[in-house]
Parts: sequence; structure tokens; C-alpha cells
Amino acid sequence: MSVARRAVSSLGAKPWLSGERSVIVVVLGVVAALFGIAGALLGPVSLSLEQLSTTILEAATGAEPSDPVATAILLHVRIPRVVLGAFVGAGLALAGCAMQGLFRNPLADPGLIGVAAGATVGAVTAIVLGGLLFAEAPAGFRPYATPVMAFFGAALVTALVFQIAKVASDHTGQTGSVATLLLAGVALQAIAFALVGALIYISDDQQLRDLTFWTMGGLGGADWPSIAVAVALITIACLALTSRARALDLLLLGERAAFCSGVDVAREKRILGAFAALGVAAGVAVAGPIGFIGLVAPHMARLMVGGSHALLMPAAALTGAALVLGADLAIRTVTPPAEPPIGLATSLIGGPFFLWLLIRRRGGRHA
Amino acid sequence: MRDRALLEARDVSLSFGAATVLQGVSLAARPGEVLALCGPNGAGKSSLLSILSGEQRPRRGDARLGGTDLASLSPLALARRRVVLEQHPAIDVAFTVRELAALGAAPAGFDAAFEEQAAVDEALEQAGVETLADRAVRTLSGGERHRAHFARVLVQLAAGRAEGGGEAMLLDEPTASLDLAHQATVLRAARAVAAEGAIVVVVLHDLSLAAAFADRIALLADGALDAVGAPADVLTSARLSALYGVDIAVERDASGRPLVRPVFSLFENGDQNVHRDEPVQSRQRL
Repeated sequence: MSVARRAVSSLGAKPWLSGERSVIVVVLGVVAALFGIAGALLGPVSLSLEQLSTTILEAATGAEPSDPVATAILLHVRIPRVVLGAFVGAGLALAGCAMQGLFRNPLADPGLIGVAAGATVGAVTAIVLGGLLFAEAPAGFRPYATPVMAFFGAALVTALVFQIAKVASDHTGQTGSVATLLLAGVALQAIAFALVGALIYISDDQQLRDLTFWTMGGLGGADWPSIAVAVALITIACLALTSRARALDLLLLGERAAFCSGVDVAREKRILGAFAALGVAAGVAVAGPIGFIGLVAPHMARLMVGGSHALLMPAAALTGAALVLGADLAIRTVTPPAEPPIGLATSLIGGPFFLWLLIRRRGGRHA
Repeated sequence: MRDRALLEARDVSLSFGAATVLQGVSLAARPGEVLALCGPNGAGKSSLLSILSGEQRPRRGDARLGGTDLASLSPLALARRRVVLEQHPAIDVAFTVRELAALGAAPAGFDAAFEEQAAVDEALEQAGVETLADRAVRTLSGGERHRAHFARVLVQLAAGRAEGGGEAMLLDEPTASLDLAHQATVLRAARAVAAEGAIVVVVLHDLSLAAAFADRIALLADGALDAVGAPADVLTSARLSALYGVDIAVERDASGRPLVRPVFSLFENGDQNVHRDEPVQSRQRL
């Protein structure tokens, strides 16, 4: 991690030229790609780079697979996993970046606006009450009940958070302050987790096991159709969030200064909230709530390329992708063929990092 | 509306809940003029400034720039026509001084003939922060940071001009955290902006500074306009003493400019024998 070390040591007075910073973004892209390739090659069955390139070439041209076993492993297990990991990581990181900018708080993450809480309520509802709710649903829908419910749970709770904040601020006559949004998020999270608690209370042992594993996240369970939907939604979210880079820069100056500099603060808040929720919800629906990426990735990126969002956002997305792919690689290679949930690895990286951040922040030098 | 380029508050009132902050204030600032808003704490200076900048909408009355109701303008349209420097600009931003100043270019259109780099360089120099250009904003002192934000506002003014705007600059206590030399730097830059035909409205606590720097002073008291006019006419010992509730002496420097001096002692038996409205010979001049 010499890049990270260089970046950290440059935190002081020495500024980075923008040319050097752009190089860092390229390096991050290479690191993410290397993790992705390693993720495809390593595992209980080790594959070669040649097998990977042959498989991709054959799949792209529609040719008959020359190595059916390797092709099956790559196309149905590892490549979906790597693709999902990369996009989920990028989506979480960009959403985190947007929330840290919007809330002007380095400890903010998409959880603050209720995305994770809503997704959890939706998913747990599907797991515990799915038998009742979807008894009449076509058989083809059943495997997708959890991701679909997670997505709508996330969307619903986020919409509620923003609506309540808007009503509250209309009521007080202030133009929707970020603090109101934050408090509405906290309150709704508490309600959401009370609902989850109630659902856990009435669940049976199998459901309890299912939902416990769901809450720790995992890239293994998804098939191509749901991955394709998630990738499409995350791509839309990423493009939309990245296009708000300048507004996010100005929002860092405070809502008043942002308004005076031409930012329609209320509108930006809605756009950022909506697309952050989309980027996270689409990922959470398929891969479960993977913790800390939304918090940690933007920070690591900020240490490397600085605070300007035009460069920070691509760097954060690549960092997020690399972190998720790295964490997935770690859990798969530590105790093969067993596969602990990915949330364990990301929390083991993210928890200490969060604490380090807190301590640095107390020192008044936070990023 | 004889002069369409005015920045005016027309019979504005503002209240937060039961607290009335402004009541029936009408005031107009002209292009090329520096208008200072002065008065005791809580008089409504900053509130009036936020109405003139379009940040707050008055409960009654309206604020207009060049005849257009500010409430009808989008944030972007406002940003192109007027710039605002807050009293307490953001401290903890992860930018260098140059990056911060460049943020002022945000309102510039993509096709505008606006040279961002040149505008940033010029603003950094005018604000006296060109030697700090590559420093991180969070490592600066309070006064340095304030000037860095002032540079950002100057860039925004230039960007607004490129879009056919850049009509007004509003500053809330721009000198409060600055040493004497840098007060002069910032106020000179603001005067230069006015000299180029823009409207400059500035909230100032220091009445002597206001007298030296502003063309006109508007004195506010309890949310109403107490007096407005040339510094020499507005700043009189009787008016200020009544307004601030302490004895205030107004002296004149050699050029006849008012120098305002409170006459109170922090000790019980303070010396109250001061000759008022008397010229003094040697005074530091801005």
C-alpha cells in the first residue's frame, strides 16, 4: 500500500499537483482490476490467466467452451461474483461520498438516510413473512422476493426520511436543513430496527439463520439476471452522483455559501439522496448490507486525491470496488472452501479505520 | 424605479416566530457606491443583508436588483448577479486556497468568455493570499481563511460579469477577523469593485472604519432604519450615544471624516471628560 502511505504522508503542507492525482486514479483502477482478476482465478479450484482469457473470448464470440469446467466456474460462479462486487463497492463508495459531502460530515454514510435500515426491513420481511406474502406469487418470483423487497424497503424508508425532513422544515419555516434530515433518518432507523426486531422475534430457526446471514452480506448468492439489474441501476446512480461533483464541492462550504454560489440546495439534496439511495439499495438488494465501504472508501480516496469531488468521486468508486473485491478474496482464501460472510472482512477493515478516524478527528486534523 | 440598476429593499419586514427582526425597512444601494450597514448587535444588519442577497425572503415587502424581485430568480441566476461573503465562512474544507477560490467560478457558463485561471490568480492577489495559494485551507489562521473566501467571492464576481451579471457584492463583517493591514487590503479590494461600477453593501461594526470606507452609512436600530446618509451626517455623537446606550464621542480627522470613540471606562471612576466633535490632528488613516 505504498500509494496510501505516500498519500498519508502528503497530508501536510505539500500539495499534490492535479496531474499526480490523476495518476492515482489510474493506479486505483489497476488495483481494482488486479483484485478482480485475482478473484476470478483464485479459489478452491485455481485457474490460470490463460483459462480466464480463453473463457471470456469464447463467451464473447459464442464459441463452444474448450474447457467446460473452467468455463462453468468462471461464467457461473466467479465472474458474476467479481462483477457484482465491483459495482456494489463502487455504488456504496459513491453514495457514501455524496452523503459525506451533503452532510459535511466525514463520519456520514448512506445508512444515515435510512437506506440500510429500509433494505433490512424489506429483506427480513421477505425472509420471515415471505411464505405468507408471496404464497400466490408465481414460482419464478420467489427467489427474487428478498432482493425486490430489500430494494423497495430501502427506497421507501429513504423517501420517508426526505419527506419527513421536508415537512418538518416547512413547519419551522427554515429551508430544509441537513440537521433535520439527519434526525429524521435517526428516528426512522430506530423504528425500522424495532420492526426488524419484531420480525426476528416471530421467526423460526431457519429464518433466523437466513436473515442473520443476509445482514452480513455476500456476493455468492446472485445469478446473472439479478446482477444485470443491479449493475444497470448502480451505473445510473454512479453517473448521476458523479455529475453533481461541483455542487458537492460547493455544499462543503455550507448550505448558505452553496446557495450564494448558485446551488439549488433543496434540489441537490433530493437528487443526491435519491441516487445515493438507488446506488446502495440496488447493491444491498442483491448482496446484502456490506458494512463500512460507504464510510471508508471515500475517506481513503480523499487521503489520496484530495477533496475536490471531480477527482474524488472516481477515486472513491474505484477504492470501493477494490475494497469489496479484496474483502471477498480474503474471505474466500482464508479458510477454503468455507466462506465466511463478506461483512466480517469489511467490518474488520472498516471498524478500526473508523476508530482511527475518530481519534484523528478529535485531534482536529480530520480529512 | 428611476434607476433600474439599484439593489433595494422595499418596505421589508422579517420575523422568526414571535421575534420581529426587521420592520418596514426601505433602503437602496446604487451602482458604484459602497453602502455600510451599521448598528448595535441585534439591530438587523445581517438579516437585512440576507434579504438583499436573496437568501431570505421578507415576510412583507420585497428586495429587488435592477428592478427584478430577487425571489423570482433561481439560485444560479442570483449567483451570477450578486456575490455574498458570510461572516463565518466554512473552516474545515478539504481544499487548497487556489481550489477554494476556483469554486467561485461555478456560476460561469461553459461557453462564457471567462478565463478561470486568470480570474483566480487576480483574485488571490487582490485578497492578499497569493503566497498561500497552495496551502490547505484548514491549516490557515482565521484571518487568512477569511481572505481566501474573499478571493472565492471575487472570482464569483468575475464569473458573474462574464455572464452579464456581477452587479453587487455583499459582505458581512469582512474585517472582523483581520489585522489592520489586511482590513485595508480587503476594503481596498471592495472599493475597487465599487469603482468598476458594482454595488457594494457591507456590514461593519467599526464605525470609524465604516466612515473611512463607505460612501453612505445606514444605521439600523431594533430592526428599523434609524438614519442613512453620508458618514459625516449620520455619525453624530448624540445619535450614536442614544443608539448604543453608551456615551460615544465623534471626533474629526484632518479631512473632516468622523472618528468614533466610545467614552466609557471599565473602572468605576472612569474619566468622562472628553471634548466631543473636536478635530484631532494626528490619527491613523486607512
